[in-house]
Amino acid sequence: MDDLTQLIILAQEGDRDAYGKIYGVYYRRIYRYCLFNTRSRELAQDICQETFVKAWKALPAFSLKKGSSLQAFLFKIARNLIIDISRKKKTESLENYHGLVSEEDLEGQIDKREENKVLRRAISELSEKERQIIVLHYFEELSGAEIAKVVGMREGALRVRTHRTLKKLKDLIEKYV
Amino acid sequence: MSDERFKNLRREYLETPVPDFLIYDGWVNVRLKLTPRSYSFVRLFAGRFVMAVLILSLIFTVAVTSSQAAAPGDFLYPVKVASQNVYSRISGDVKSPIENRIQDVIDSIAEPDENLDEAIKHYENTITNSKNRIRSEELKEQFKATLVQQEDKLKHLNEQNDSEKRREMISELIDRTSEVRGEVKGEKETGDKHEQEETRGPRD
Repeated sequence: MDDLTQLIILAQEGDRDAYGKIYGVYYRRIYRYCLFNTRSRELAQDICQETFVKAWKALPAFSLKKGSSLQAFLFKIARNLIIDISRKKKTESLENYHGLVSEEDLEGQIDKREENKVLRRAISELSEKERQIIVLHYFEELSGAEIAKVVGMREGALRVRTHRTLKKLKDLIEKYV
Repeated sequence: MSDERFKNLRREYLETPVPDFLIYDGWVNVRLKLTPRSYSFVRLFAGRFVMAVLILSLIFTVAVTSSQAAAPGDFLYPVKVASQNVYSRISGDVKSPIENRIQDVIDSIAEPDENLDEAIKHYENTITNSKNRIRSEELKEQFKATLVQQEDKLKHLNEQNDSEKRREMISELIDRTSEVRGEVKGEKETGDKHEQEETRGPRD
């Protein structure tokens, strides 16, 4: 049994300190995922906190069977909270993400930043589900099974959807360039 | 789509600065909002407990219903006897379980020895338990009358029986019934010896 599994079992039994360690492992990832999707630091911070409060409540129902993934469990909660909020408030374009990342803009990085800007713009044109597939696969590097759990699809359907999304992204980028 | 494009954007994504609040006070703030686990834990197991009770109830109902057609020697026969005993205890009916068991003995007379043995064993247990259970005089009289009826049935069964071994088994059962009847009366000795001789039926 690995350390994380032990922490999960302890947290399921009500050990808040163990849950604090789980928080320490994942909060950065959940925050940047929320920020990428909401474009608001304050909102991302609130959703990140709320994700861990909700996860604590739902943790006893989390199964430790083979194939289960705590990060998929957390990302799914975060995604649902983001969807709830985006229904209430229209989210800003992802193109503005650049300004949130860093104030620095080194000369040598201008080209890359331009390239990133185009890709961000293309990603922002995708549907919510397609965007999550890209972010979770290429940025958070979740496995296919984990992404399938987060977005609520079967793995086979996810593969097809990923392929179509990449093609769509390519077309969008060509259009912008 | 080239992966290189994603790698560049991923690098930027991973450089996302995390607010100081989350680093230093984030967990403290979350911890304050965590509800005690016991409530959720109890609720979780209560749901599982209810589900387990429902499944067990279903299995129990199916087993009891299926057992009503069971005969001595069948796998579900003890379930049938137990369920009928429970029903008689609840309803206060001392007659039905005894009649049911004697009917099983009658039905098993042509069956293999072990089936008849099992039917006899359950009959003896039933009359002994009923004797120990009843308290009121009214029920005692009803019990004795029921035993007399069973003795008559067994005598009749022995008259029609060709097997000496079986006649011996039934005669012993008649003696046992008479003995229990005597114990209800408060007699130390078993019934009238002459009466018992009569109950043994014709010998070869």
